Amino acid sequence: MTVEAAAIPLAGPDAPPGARPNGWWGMVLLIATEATLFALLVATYFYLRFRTQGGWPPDGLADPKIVKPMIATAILVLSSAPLALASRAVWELRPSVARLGLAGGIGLGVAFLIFQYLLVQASLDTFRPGKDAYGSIFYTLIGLHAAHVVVGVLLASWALVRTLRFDRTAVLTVRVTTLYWHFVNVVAVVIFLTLYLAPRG
Amino acid sequence: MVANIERLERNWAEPGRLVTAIATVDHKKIGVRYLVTASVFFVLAGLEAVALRAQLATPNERLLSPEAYDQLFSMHGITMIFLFVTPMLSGFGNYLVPLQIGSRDMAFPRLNAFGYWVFLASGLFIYSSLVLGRAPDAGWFNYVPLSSGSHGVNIDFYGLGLIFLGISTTAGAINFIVTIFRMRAPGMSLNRIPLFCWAVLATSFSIVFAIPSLSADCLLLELSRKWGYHFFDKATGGDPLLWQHLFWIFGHPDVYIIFLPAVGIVSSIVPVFSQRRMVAYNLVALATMATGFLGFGVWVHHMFAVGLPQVTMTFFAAASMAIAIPSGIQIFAWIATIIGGTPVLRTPFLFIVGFIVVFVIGGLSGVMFAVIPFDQQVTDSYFVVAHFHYVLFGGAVFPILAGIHYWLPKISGRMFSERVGVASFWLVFVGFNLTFFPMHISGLLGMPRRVYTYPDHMGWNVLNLLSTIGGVVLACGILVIIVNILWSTRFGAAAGDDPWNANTLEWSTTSPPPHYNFATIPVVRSADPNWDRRDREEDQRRLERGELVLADGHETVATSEVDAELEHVLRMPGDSPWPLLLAIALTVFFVGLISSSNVTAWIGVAAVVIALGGWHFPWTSDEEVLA
Repeated sequence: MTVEAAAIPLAGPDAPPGARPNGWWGMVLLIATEATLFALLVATYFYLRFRTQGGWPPDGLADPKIVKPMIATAILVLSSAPLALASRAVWELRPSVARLGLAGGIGLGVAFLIFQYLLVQASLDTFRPGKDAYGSIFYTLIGLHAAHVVVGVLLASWALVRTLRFDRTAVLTVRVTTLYWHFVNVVAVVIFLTLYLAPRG
Repeated sequence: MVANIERLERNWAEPGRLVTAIATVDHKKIGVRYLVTASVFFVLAGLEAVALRAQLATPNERLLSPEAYDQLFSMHGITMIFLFVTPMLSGFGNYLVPLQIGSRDMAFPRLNAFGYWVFLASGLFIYSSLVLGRAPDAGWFNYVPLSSGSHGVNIDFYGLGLIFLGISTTAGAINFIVTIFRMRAPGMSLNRIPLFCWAVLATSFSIVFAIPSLSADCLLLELSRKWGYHFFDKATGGDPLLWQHLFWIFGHPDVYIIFLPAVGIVSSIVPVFSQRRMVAYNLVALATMATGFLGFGVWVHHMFAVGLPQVTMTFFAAASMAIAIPSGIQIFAWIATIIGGTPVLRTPFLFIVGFIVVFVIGGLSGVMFAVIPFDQQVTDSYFVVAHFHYVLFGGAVFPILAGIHYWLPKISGRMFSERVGVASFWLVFVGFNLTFFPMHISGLLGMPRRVYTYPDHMGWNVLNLLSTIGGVVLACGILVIIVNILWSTRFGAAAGDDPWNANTLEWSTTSPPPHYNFATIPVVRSADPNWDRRDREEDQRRLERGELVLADGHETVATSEVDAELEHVLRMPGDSPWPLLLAIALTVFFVGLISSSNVTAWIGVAAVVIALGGWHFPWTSDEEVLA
């Protein structure tokens, strides 16, 4: 058996459905460690909640309003669709479709960030992070997640530029960006459930 | 064949010295850098310990002020745990994993270089605090409220420094996992991976899931300290125990992050110096993974004295005792291998025997702690100090010293002096036991840990003096080892490819190995490939036929995750300055944070983005355009 005959293409019509380059594995592990970070911070939220005597949110603060954050989360979750499209398109060697998908994702991601910024500005009028543990963990979770969305937007922008020279690395860049993007959106849902829905339970 | 080797030499040749110094991605160079840098930190932490022992040699000593003592014992622990043991074992892993699995590099060579630079930068960051006289002073586990309430920048060096260092550790761990799963020589299925690589794999998985807990903890601490958030103070709805939970969710797996690679070193050396295959290879590999996994279920046993519910404590006590099962499997497998073989008592093996003796004593006092009433009796006393030095010095430093002597001939190509090596072992072994055994007794007599001095009439004087004398003997032993190593790299006898008749692939190539590691990628058919003479002769014939030579660039093979079937040829990246530049950019960011200079921090963020762009820009891409 010669080596050349054993070489598997990682993209294009001849690529096997499960072809996973090293970079794909690297991203999966990065997501594993990041997911642990968020899981611990969500656990911290509930730890603080159940160690607090009295109401939650404390000091008679009203439950957080649910509709606008739900719309923001929905916008972000929706943005997974164009990214999935982009990931599929690079696999089929159609860079222009991939660019379209990436651009769509970036647009929705930025829309989410602006929306989230306005929401945070509004809620800062009601309670601030320095007030108590509730405010601290609330803004820590929102802020850390928003930072991840920013990184996702930067990654997707880079992937978009990178498809202008459409080689294997470009294919991989789009694939791992999509993976990261989906992860950040799953976190968005978890954070929405934790911060907005759980206090009503 | 000669033409192929010339092409390999040309493709893998290093540019000038300066370029290599800042841009190399050679895993062997990076591995040696890790080993040397971590050793320097070991010496620094050792000197700190000598200062502590001098202060404690006699009662009412006035050598160190209480403040200086606090900083020194904190830095001693932080350095040993974070800046010595883990990076030291990363150094062994970096140097050895690609060689042991028959690859030419790590899966992500530039990430590897980046990991080293971040380790160096964060180490210097943390140590700059000592130069400023503002070192962390709340111990290596830095409990709140002591650490959250104190003013001054001391604790911020801890919180920010460990987040910084965590980037390096995590990057390294991800690299090891992908390398071991994807880059093994054809034929090296999961049940043929060298046990050292199994240990690195288990450690790396532990790191991926444990470091986030430390980073989260430090993030919450720094948010509290620098931006007025509240997580740890009762008055504002926080809870000081939150720090302890998050810390030990990291901290106990970290014990195995430290211990498992050391175990891997032991499992590498025991079969070679017994000259027989490892007994129960499969069980030992499984036990390695099981230990890493169970390590996540035992953290509360560090907190038996803080007043948790009885059920919680019982659960964690049971889980802690369960660790004895995989540990026992490993110990008995080593002993069976030694008894069933023909042991050769050379320096590396002496350190292994020292490890088994010391570690078993440390393990026995460890089992005692799983008994909750006993734990509550001796917690925060010198008994604990004695225990964890038996476990950590015994469980990590002895194997590291064994590993240094074992692999030094491969790394430098020269042998150390065996007579000096044996002498250094006895100095270290006697010095260690003389330092730490008396601490069991002073602990049982009630001496609390972390006191900077003690009154005359407590009955601790002789024990403390013995410990200090032992510390001096131990330091002399380490000094002799350093001299022996330095001497050997210049004047030692040539080692040859395989001075120990060893079983793993790193010994099938030259000492030191060429830049491309192997002239042809080896093909493997057992867990002891270097003892399969015919397979290695077949490698030579394949080299002559030009198979798997892959001399067209920085090439190596990718194989399937489980069975290691050949999948494709990988074109690996070459030297790059970007890992260093990215590490510098990150340093700027952290310097901005510690000095509360927002401008500097934002400049750091911008520099990070630019450096990442430069890193990923296809400057000289020869990849084919697909569409």
